[in-house]
Amino acid sequence: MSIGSMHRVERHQPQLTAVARAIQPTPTLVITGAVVLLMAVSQLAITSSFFSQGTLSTLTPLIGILVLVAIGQAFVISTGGIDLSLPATMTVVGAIVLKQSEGQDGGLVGALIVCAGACVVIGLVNGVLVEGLGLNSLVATLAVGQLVLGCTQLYRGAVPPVQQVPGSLGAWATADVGGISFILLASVVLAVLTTFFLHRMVVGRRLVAGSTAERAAVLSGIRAPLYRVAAYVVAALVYGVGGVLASGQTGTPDLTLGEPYLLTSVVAVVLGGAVLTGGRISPIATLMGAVFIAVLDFDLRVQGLSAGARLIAQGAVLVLGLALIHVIRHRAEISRALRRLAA
Amino acid sequence: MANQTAPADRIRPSPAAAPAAGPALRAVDISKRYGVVRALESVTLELRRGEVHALVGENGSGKSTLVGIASGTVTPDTGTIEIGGAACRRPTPWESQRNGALTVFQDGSVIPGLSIAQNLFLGTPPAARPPYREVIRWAGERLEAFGLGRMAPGLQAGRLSAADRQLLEMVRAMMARPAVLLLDEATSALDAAGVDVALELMRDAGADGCAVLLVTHRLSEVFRIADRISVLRDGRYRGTYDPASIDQAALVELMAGRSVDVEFPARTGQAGEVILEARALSGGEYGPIDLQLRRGEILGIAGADGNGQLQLLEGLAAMDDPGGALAVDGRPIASFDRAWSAGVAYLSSDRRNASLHQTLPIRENLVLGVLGKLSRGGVVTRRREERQVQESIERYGVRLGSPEEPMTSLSGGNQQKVALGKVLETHPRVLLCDEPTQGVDVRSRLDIYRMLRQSAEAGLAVAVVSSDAAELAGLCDRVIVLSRGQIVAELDGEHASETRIVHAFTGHETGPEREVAAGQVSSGPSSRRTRLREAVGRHPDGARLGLLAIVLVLLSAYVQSQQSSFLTTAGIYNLLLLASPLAAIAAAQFVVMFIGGIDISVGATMSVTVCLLSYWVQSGSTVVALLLALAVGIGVGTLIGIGNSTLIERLHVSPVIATIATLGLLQGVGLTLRPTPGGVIDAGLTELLTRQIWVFPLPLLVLCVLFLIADWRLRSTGTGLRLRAVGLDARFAYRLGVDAPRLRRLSYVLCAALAGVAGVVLAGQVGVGDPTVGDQYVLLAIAAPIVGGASLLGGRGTFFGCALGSVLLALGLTLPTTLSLGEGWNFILTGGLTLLALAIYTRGVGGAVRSRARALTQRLTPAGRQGA
Repeated sequence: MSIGSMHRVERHQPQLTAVARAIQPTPTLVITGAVVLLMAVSQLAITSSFFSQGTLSTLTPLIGILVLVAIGQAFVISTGGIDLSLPATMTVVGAIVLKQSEGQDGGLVGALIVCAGACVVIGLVNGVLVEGLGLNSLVATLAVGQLVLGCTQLYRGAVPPVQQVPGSLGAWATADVGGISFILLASVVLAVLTTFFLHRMVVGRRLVAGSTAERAAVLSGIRAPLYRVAAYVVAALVYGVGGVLASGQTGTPDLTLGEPYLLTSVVAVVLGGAVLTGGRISPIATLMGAVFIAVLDFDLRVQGLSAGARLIAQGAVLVLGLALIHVIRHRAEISRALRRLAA
Repeated sequence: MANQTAPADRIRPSPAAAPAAGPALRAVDISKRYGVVRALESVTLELRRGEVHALVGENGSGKSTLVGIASGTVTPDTGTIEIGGAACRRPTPWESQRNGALTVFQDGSVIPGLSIAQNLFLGTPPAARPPYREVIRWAGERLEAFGLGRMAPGLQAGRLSAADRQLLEMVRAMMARPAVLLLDEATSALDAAGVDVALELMRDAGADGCAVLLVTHRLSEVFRIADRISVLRDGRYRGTYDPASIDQAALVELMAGRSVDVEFPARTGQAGEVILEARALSGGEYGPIDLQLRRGEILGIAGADGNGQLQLLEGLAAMDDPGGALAVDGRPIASFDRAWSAGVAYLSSDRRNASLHQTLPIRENLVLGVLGKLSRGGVVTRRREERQVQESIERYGVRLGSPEEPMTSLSGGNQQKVALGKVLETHPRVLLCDEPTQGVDVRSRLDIYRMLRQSAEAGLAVAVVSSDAAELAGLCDRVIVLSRGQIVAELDGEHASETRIVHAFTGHETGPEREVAAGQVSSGPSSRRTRLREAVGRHPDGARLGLLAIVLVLLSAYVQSQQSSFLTTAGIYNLLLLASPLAAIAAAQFVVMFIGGIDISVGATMSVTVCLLSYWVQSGSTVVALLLALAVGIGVGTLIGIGNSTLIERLHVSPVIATIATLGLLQGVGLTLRPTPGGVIDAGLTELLTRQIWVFPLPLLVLCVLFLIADWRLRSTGTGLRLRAVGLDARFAYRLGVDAPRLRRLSYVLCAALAGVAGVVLAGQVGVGDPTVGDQYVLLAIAAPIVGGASLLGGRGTFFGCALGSVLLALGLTLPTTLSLGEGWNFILTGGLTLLALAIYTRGVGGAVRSRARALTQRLTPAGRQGA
């Protein structure tokens, strides 16, 4: 089909000069700057040994797990939903690792397969409830989380016979290269791969299209509901990986394994600047968001703050992050309002 | 009544009282941009008292934006609006109304879930409203006075036809005798008789001293009624004219900024073989229709707004499961997926949601349909993609800065070219196109006509729905005219003209009779069932409460059969004790649910209250302790609520994320106050809060009384109605002058304050400061209102339902113990009950399941499509 008569490419005057565009506060740039600043503060003011092997080997695995679950959460948030079944998913995975492997290395592979199955089921249930039946994602995933938690308790029994995860899992989860945990390295690789997937893979592009505007995607011949359900399944699987690693790290996963990750995953995604009403996620920015919240938490712990105070800090960071996003997005309107106020 | 400084007087300026000096409305130097699109550029316009002033312009010329600004729903970038001499500082609908301007909006503001009387009440400025209890009588009188006595004031507005709704809106605005009446395409859904009525109403308003601004694209109406005509083109003011001194052709030329003859590409007149064939195609608002789309042909579908054109177009793409038979190249098509695979493309006019991805770069939009072609092994090759993008940009003449910029950086015309180009690149065989030039500038419009014509010449079959009859007359080879979902005329393209097309559809009565007739037919045979269904439909909340009560009784009976000690005074008291804090927290959640919000920090608010009470209310007289406790609960809650409402309404954060942030903060505060449970709360207070009165705990009894009062107020006051309106449709409520943002802010504050009270009730039961005691209520607080009949979409449910829902959930929580099941079962039961209630009450779930099932059976039996 050739429409020859329309060779009329006129270019608009670019609205921003190159310099102005380079210093445009993109979410990734802002959060990366914040992370660099925070690390500098940590090294200079909090602990002089922030970049020492000892510090890194305790901090980096925590960051790694948080990055994983945050990327999972980002997949769901990019569809305009939210997944509050995250803690329960991680907890059930911890319980499965214990019970299926019976603490033996030989049973680990079987346990991991069962974990993957459980995650797929949870993700599918979430996805079908939210996308298939059109239920509110917050309530549906919260309820599914309760279902999973209940099942975990029944499955695990009041006092589990095995308390310790297989040794090889513990060893892997605590392995590091020069103080930097394998988990963090793996999650960085995942973030890079996810970025490639979302930008370059056909499936990724379609997933993004289905997330940003479902009806437009459907009318372009994309089975958008399928992709949106898939986002929940992928997210659950990533939480599962996070859950396995977290249980390897603690060695004795209990029923509260996943609890700390609900708030922090949302904070990381918000700091990563994900469009909260659906849109393309930026895995690198999410990674930076996770680094920020984990380092901040570490600093506060070094300062001797209680668990409560650190929770307050996380909540406050989330509020400030939201306020900052608002300011960046509406800077034109705000400056206009200020000018009007001055006049 | 001559005291013109009294605000009430401004709303009813009778011609005698108002001074003749000064214009009724003055818009000075108004500018407004949407992204890169200049909707208005320093427009100045004056309305005299008592005149009917027509504002004309093409699609996208800025008429609706100007009306929006004058009505206070759109904030201008620069410029001022003066209504009756009063300048609006911060434009809002209610300020505009107070100054005396009432508006009828293009896409309406009738809230379908409310009755006609309630809609009238909402849209009337406070000074002209009766007390709410007289609303039905008042509405009946007013309707009668304006010649709409046939509408029953108690009828749900959603059951009115589009035309009646439009007339209702006009009467709603005119009832208050405003100084300025803004009518934005207020006659679009009316037939010839309806237009006569509407024009007569305008004339009366003008005679009454009201300044009427009539925005329309129907020039015949303009010449029938207007005293003066102003023209907008591309967001600029192009002068005001006396209708006696200008004719229709000159006016059209002013609107278009060019002479309007030789712009449509020439027809070739060579239609080829049939590609798409519909036989007895029918859906909710059209059919049965027989139609053939031929290769190389552009078919126009015309009709007055809302006569099934769009639905027919969607039906041709097999959307929404149409009845009848559809075939491409003789092969039957059963679903949109099949249609797409067979080469049927559908281009929506909704560029924001349904034809483009606004937040993605232009590049990704352009190639979305052809990703498969550009990829190797599932990976999109950068080189191929860039070549494709470059080709598309040149082929379709898209004017852009960089293809990496988001869609929002393009003007409407260029966006439409991208949308059309995206579809054409997939090489469809049939293109179904809704309003191809809506909001598109003139130059891009010509490009789009040429794109469509050349694609047709290359072998595409095209069908176009358009409200612009001139466009159809110029572009199409064949035009069918729809009225009430039926083809009433078919015109040959060569002989079609705007006048002939409009004549064809105005010659037929349009309107609602189709639906009504269908309803009457089905109401014949089983009238008792219908009556029952109607009664249930009239009192949906009551029906839900009844259902809930039945479930509660059945479940209790079951528990009693398992454990005989259940139905004793002590057994029921224990159950209700468990339900008391839940009922309180459910009521708190319901307050925000009712306006369509959600707050998941309520559980943590309870925890913080309990912790604070464990410090501050340890001893003393019971009365003082109770008052202190309530003060603490309400005070803490109010602070939290102000925080939540600031995040949600001022910073426009989604309620979910905002309250997750508060949840984290509050959990931290609780843990800081009491790292481990400790601190004994005053024994007198705990005794009071668990006191047993027959089977009831004292707090629950008090709550239930309060709930009944609150439900009664919600039903019988104007404030209750406004809250419901915000929940049902916040945008329309805002347009009608309801301060929706303020009501929502208040709701979040009230919710958190009630959560504080729930914390007091809970404290009376636990007795110690436990920082995690509220965590279990996060889901329960949402579940109980839903079980009790509230909707997450807002506007539905009752406080009393929350109480019943709480009792049901409490029963669920005790079941595992009663039946000696494992510990995990209460989680499973709560989660399951919530999902069940949500699934049952979510609108459309039943429909979704049914349509999926039907689609599945049809796929299994492709021959069985004839029935439907």
